[in-house]
Amino acid sequence: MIRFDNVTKMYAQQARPALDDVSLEVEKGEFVFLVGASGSGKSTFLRLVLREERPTQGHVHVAGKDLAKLSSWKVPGLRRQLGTVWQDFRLLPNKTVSQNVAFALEVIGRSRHQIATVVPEVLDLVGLADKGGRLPGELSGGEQQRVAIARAFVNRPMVLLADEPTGNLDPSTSVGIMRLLDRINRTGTTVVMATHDAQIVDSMRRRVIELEGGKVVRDQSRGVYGYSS
Amino acid sequence: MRLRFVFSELAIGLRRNLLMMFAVVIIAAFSMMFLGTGLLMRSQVGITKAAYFGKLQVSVYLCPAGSVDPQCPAKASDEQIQNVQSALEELRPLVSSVQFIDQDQAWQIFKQEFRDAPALIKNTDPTALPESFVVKLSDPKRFDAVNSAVANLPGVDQVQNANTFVKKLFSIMNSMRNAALVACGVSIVAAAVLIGVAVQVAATSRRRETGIMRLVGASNLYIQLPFLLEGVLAGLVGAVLGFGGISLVKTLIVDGQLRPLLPVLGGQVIEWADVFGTIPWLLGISVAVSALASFVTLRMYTRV
Repeated sequence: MIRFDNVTKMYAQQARPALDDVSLEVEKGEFVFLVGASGSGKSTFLRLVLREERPTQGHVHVAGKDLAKLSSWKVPGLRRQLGTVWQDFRLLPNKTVSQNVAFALEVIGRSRHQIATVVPEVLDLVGLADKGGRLPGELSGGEQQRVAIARAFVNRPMVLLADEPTGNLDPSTSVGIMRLLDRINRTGTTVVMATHDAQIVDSMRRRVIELEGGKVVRDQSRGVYGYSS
Repeated sequence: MRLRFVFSELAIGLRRNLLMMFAVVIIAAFSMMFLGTGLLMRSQVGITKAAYFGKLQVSVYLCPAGSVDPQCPAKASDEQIQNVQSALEELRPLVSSVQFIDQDQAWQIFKQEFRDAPALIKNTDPTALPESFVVKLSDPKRFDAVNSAVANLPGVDQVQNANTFVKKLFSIMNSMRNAALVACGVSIVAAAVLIGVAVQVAATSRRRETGIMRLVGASNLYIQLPFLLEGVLAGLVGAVLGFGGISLVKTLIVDGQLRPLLPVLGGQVIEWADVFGTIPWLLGISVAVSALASFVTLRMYTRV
């Protein structure tokens, strides 16, 4: 589903590469934790998958496509197959929960009829069936993140990318979010989650890829956050 | 493509950016008004040129009674008039026709030409109008030959070349037209820059929305169209107001204050048809400029 072949990413005005000769593959349906300190290259990894950035060297393949060969007008098509969730939720404050989720469908030209059916379904899935009319500001952090996940998942993407989705949440709320991501993963959606949260990684026992200074230093199936050090 | 979505985004954008759009509309209206004025000025030069064509002639004015000019001690005598006429006839074939205008005819022509200025007619003494020869030349450029042949004959007051006057008139009209077009060019640049800034402000103020749109896979068209339409709409409203401006110029100035100058302009001024003829230019240029300005700005500030 996602394959990195010897990918190096240099940012201008930085001597050290953000990613340094990374090769790895994520299979369809996998749940992968991306761990490592700040600046280890986790976000760059996600940005390369989204084709927000292009690699300096090497090739990134997503859903069978070589992103280097993908012309820019096909990038929206790629992104429709990827759902994204961030630490800061990124909801539109002046739209209701339903409207926030519907927005993701409106802007890719889905019909009103289709939106009217799909949005309640996905709100039900994330456990917010009765809060569609609320504004994001009226919800707790955990609920806001559920809205963001609903928006990312409403278009049934093949891959869900999550950048520190529990970073702003307390541990018990985080557990709820992880259950939700796990459920989404069980529908066959590949999930890649960058995180600092050792407790979550340890409890989930999924594949762990650890980055350090832009290099993959560990790739473990059913891994833990770190060796107890 | 869901137009409803695009238009609701457009409405939101316009509401948020109202003051900026107001400024854009005003400057666009002015630039389109200058453009329209320049275009109409050009039409008027064409009309006036056509009216004067074939009328380019030399007038040899004879001394009137009671002149204070030292060249004219008395009214030109019949003998002097005869001499002038034969001197002119000798210049054939350069001179193609010679016509004598006596005081009666001069008065009729004067009344006809200034029919829109009755005060001027009332205050003019018919006997103060000089008699003259109207000379048509086969080659209007060789005015000097006529001038040197008759200018110093007794009884001749002055030799006037209508050509010189027409040239001066055209050069004035042309420089007015050029001034209008330069003003138009400068204000179009200002309008384009302002539209660019307005679109940039609009795009920046909605960065959160466009960021989400990009990441959920909205096409560039979907993301940019509301902003593009915002710019084009401002340009369009500006063009409509600019047209209103030149309509006002037509009503108040061309059909109002310029009326007495009608004979000078060749007896004819631009019609409403000429005014309406500028519409495609105004709309086309303002839409093209605003679309281009918006597009370039969006290319620079919202990337995929």
